[in-house]
This record gives sequence, C-alpha cells and structure tokens, in this order.
Amino acid sequence: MNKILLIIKREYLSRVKKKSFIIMTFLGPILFAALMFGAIAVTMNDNSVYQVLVVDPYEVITQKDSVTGAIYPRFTNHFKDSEKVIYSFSRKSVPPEAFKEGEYEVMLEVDEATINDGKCNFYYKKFPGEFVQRKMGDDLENSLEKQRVIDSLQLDYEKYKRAKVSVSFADINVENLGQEDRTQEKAFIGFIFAILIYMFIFMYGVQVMRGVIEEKTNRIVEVIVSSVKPFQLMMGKVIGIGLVGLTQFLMWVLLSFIVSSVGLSFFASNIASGAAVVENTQVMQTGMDQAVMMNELMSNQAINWFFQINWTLMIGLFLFYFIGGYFLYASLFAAIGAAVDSETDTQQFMAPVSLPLVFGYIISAMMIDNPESWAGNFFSVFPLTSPVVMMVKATVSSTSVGMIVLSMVILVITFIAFIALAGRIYRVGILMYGKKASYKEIWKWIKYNP
Amino acid sequence: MSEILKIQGVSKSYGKHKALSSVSLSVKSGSVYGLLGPNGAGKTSLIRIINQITAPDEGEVLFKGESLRPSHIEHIGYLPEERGLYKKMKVGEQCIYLAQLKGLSKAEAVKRLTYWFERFDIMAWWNKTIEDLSKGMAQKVQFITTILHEPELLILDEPFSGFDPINAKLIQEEMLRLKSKGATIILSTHDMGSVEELCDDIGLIDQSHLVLSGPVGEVKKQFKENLFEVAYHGTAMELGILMGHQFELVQNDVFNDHNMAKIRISPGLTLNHLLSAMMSNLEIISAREIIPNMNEIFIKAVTQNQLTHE
Repeated sequence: MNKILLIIKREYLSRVKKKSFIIMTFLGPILFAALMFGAIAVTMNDNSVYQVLVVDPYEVITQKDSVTGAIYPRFTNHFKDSEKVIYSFSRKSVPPEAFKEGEYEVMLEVDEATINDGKCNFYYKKFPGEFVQRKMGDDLENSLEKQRVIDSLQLDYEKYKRAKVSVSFADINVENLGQEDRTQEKAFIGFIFAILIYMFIFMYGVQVMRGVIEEKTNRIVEVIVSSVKPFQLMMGKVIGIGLVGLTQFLMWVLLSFIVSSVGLSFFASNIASGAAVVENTQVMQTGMDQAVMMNELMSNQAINWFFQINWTLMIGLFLFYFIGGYFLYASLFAAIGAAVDSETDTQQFMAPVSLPLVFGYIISAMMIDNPESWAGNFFSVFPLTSPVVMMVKATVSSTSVGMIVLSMVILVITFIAFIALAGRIYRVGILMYGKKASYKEIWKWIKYNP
Repeated sequence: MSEILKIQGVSKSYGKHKALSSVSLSVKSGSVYGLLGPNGAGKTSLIRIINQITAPDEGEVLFKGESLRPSHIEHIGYLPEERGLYKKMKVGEQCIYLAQLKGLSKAEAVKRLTYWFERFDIMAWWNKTIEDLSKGMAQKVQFITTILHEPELLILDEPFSGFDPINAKLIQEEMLRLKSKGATIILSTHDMGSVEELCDDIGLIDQSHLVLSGPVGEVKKQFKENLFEVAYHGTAMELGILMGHQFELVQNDVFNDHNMAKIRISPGLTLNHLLSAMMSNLEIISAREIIPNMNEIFIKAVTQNQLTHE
C-alpha cells in the first residue's frame, strides 16, 4: 500500500475511533438543534401572562365610566387584552413599595414626556420580553397618535389613516425579474455556512498542529521519517484529519436532518401561531433579529425564498471552500507544530495565523447588512479570508460566476504555495528538539537544502 | 569482505553551520562499525543522510555499490537516539503500522511480530498502549520495530540507553545474533566499553571531520606509545642504571615484594630488547605492552583534533 495512504488511514482511524469524536458527532447536531429551537422557544413559548397597569393621570388615552367609576381605554381598538398581556388602568401611579407587593408585573406611566415626545417609563418586577414590549409599545403609540389626530389636529381619524402610508421593500435583482430576492435572509444562510467553515478550519487545523507536536514530543517522528518523506508525513496527517472533519460534517448534516424533522413536527403548531404574531407586529421591518429570522424561515410565507437558494451550489461551495481553506490553514498549523517544542509555545505563532480567519468571520457577519461593500468584494477574493467571506458573498445574486471562479483559483494557487512553504519549515522543524524557533530561524529553514 | 556502505566526500551545512566536511568512510558487510564522536560532532547528520532523512550538499553515499535511493529504506533499520512511539496507540497495531511503512505486508508483519513477541516473551503487551508500559518495556518494543523488516544494515544510535543491565545484555546478544546472520550494524554510542566489545571497525567524527578510522586493532596500534609494563624483583635504582638512551623509565611503583615499572622503548626496538637488557641484573615477574583503551583513544584523538583547529 502506498505509504501516504497508510498515514492517512492511521490519522483518520485513530481519530474517528476516539470517544470524543463519536460523542461530538452525535451531540453536535442535538446541541445545534437544541440551540435553534431554544432560541425560538425563548421568544415564542414564554407562556407567562403579564399584568400591566397603565397609569394615565392626564386622561389622554383612558376614560372613566361615569356610572361605575371604572377606567377603560379611550380607543377600544387598542389596549386589548391578549394571551400574554392583561391590562388594567388607573389615574394614579402605584408607589414603589405597593407595586412590589401588588399583583402587577409591569407599570406603564403616561406622563408629560410621553404625551409630548413619546418617551415612556415602565416599571417592572418581571422583565417583559420582546413580544410583550412590542404589544405595549404599539398600543401606546397608536392610542397617542389617535389622541393627537382627534384632539389636537381636529381631524377625522379614518381619513388620516387613509393618508398614512407605510413603505416596505421587496428587492428584485434586475437580472432575475419576477421574484423577490430576499438578499439579507439569503446572506444570513450564507453566514451560517461561513460559521461552519470557520469552526471546522479552526477545530481541525488545531488538531493537525497538536498531532505534529505530539509526534515531535513523543520522538516518534525520526523513526517515521526514516521510512517516509517528511512531506508525505505532513500531507498524510493534513489529509487524514481533513477527512475526519468531512466525516463529522456529513454526519452532522445527516443527523441534523433527522433531528430537525423530528423537532419540526413537534414544534409545528407553535410555529404556525408564532408566524402569525410575526406578521401582525411587522417584525420583519427591523430585519436581523435572529430568532425572528428563524421564525420567518419556518413560516409558510418564507418557505418560498428558502427554496430559491441554490442549495446544491451552496453545499458545493461549502465543500470547496472548506477543503481549500482547510488545506491553507492546516499547512500553516502543521508548520507551527513543527516549529515549537510544546503546545504552550504556540501562542506567538498562532496569533498571526488565526487573525485573518477571525477577521474574515467578522467581515462576513458585517456583510449580511451590506453585501455589496468594496471590502466584501475584496475579502471574498483574498485567499486568507475567502473561504469564510465568499460563503456570504455567493448568496447575493449579483455576485458573478467570474468572481467566484477567480476567488477559487486564487485560493487553490495560494494553498499549493502554502503547502510547499509549510513543507520546508516542517521537514527541518520536526527534527529540532528542545527549542522554540524564532521567525528568523524559520526563514533560514525555508532556505535550507533538503 | 565487500562493502555494504560507502560514503564518499560527503559534506552538509545548515546555514553557516558546517555539520559534515567531506567525510569518507566505508562499512564492511557483516561487520559492526562504531561511529564515534563528541556531542554535536556531526554523527547524527551523517546517520540522517544514510537514512535519506536529509540529503548531502556534496558527495555521495553508495549502498551495496548503488547510489542511495528511496527503495533502499526497506533494507535499513534505524533506531534513533531521540526515539519514541505513539503513546495512545496499541502496541501491536503500532508495530504493524511501522512495519507497513517499511514495506512489509500486514500479514507478514503480524507473522514476524508474533515470532518476536514470543521470543521476548511480551505477547501480553499486544493490546496495551505504550503509555501503559515502562520505559524499558517500550524500548524493547522499539527495538523490535527497528529490526522487524530484517534490514541488511542496522543503524543503532545509543541503543542501550534506557535499558537496565539485563535488558541491555539481551539487546547486545540480539545484535550479535543478527550479525552472525549477516546483518551489518552501525553503532553510534558514547559507551566505549561496548565499542571494544562489539565493534570491528570504528570511525571517529569531530567538528564535522572524520579524524580517525579503521579496524579497532589498527587504531589501537596507531595510538600505542611503545609503552611496556614490567613487574620485577629489585630496586628502581638498579633498573635506572640499565635504562640508557634506548629505554625511558616513565613511572615506577613499589609494592610489598615487587616493583612495577612503565617503560617506553625507542622506535625500532621490541620487548625482547628490553627484557634482555633487564634480565642480566633483575628478576622479571611479568611483562606486557600497554595498549590504550578506546576511551583513552577517543579523548586523545578529540583533544589533538581540537588543538590543531585552534
């Protein structure tokens, strides 16, 4: 059997058989799914009911029943009780001590600032979540608006409403008429892939480094390089560990699919009602709230664009950029492992190697909001960041095929160059015991004859 | 006897550091060759070149008359000074892996390993990991992995370090057994006792140069100083009178009933000359030539070399 295959086999099997790998493979998707559904559950399945007291001393949004003395909303369309919010009204605010003891969780105080500028204090014992706050805000805003239109402007509210327009955009790429693009939502999907690539490169790149250091500190390396070339040993390790990464990824995709189909059917009813809330409160205008995005993702209306994404292309790109980025960074990590004598010495070299990767991650997060920036264009072609950034960039429909190909070609050329360079550092470094190399020394190694 | 290994004018530099300066030597088939030298002299560099871990800048290495090439790796076994095994890998699995890297098939590796494990009585370790073994046990396993592919040339760098005397003896016996079956051994060590015991030839490298080489007997001859040790009845005074310009009394020690003298004789003369000069006046008990041991030769050669380079 070819020697490099033997090395790949050993590196692969020794890791895949480890308990930690098996645990991570099964736990990973469960954790991931738990995180996803957890996020939804936090925003949707908060079943607690909030008793909200609205204090309106200036009588702008409430009125008093002359017979019973009860105070109720002036505009009956607003401040309706819901599953989560039960309103009560008062002219007088409750003193803090009494509030603490009392039945209300939240107290809204409509004071002068509220009436003039819309600034409202609310006091709470139990902090109201996003949806409760939105409902309170909408009720208060609409009531105050109606009060101003009717009392101050003396206009007919129905006419005023007809004059009011709210704008919402649908983005349509001129190259692809006839359907809404949903660029930001797609970019978000791209970002999830970017996170995966970032994670995998780091996880498995560091494993390569550890493996090299292990062989060096075990002193087995000289035994092995008397049988195979150092370059073969390095490549065997890099490829073997890369295959472990791919195995883990494929297992995760498979298991995630199973777990999420089970999870989805379980959550199905909740999601349907959750989506309705989303529509009503016009949450989507604010865009990027992740949990909300998840809701949208799963609502029937959103499913359209979800299937518009070219999944084959995305998976293909993911595999390409994972492999390309992994080779590039793993070869650098292998060189670091060879240059040091123990893992504690790696810090000095880790920083400059991981910096561009972290930077790429930040850039791709920012690109969700602004995918056409020059920085996004540059860093999706720049080989040290392209494996992460291009995953977001490629989801934007205006990204040309030419640009993706250019980015790929540059990545391939760079990783080949990096492997060659790392190989030169590696073959000298692995036989240097007992000292940590300086940058100057590494430069000398690169120039040595083999 | 044919030469299994011939090193011709090999030089190697690392940047400005000269590791080997046109070193030439040859190793006879079926012999034990002692590769000696102080730390950092260039021995490891030479060994790595023979193992094709690095390549020489100049010169050539011939293995059985052929220029060194990758397929020769299967005929060379190497036990490095800095050695070890994968700590978390099972002993058996690990030995098979290393044997496969040396070109053995899996089935053949298992067959030979079974033989060796039984021979060393360590079959019980097969499924243990290296971290479960003591250092000496791990060294045994390491030795087996070095010789398993039945190499024609065995390069052992400090093979006895880490072994207790019993196991060191075991390894030494195995070395001699392999030699008797036709293997050639290059032994690099600082233990001059084992050099005297095992080696047929030696080569001494110092400061990147080969400063001394040849059969152990020849080398010793080269370093002997025509010095003899004679035990006799009589006095030092009586002996002194006999010395003249042909003999030089270097040292005389008085014991209870006899004296012990160290005498250097002029070139061209033999022990016979000395004895016949002494016999007339003194009673000789015993006489022998003082031959330097490898330790003294090592120190002398290195000191001389360093003096000439200063």
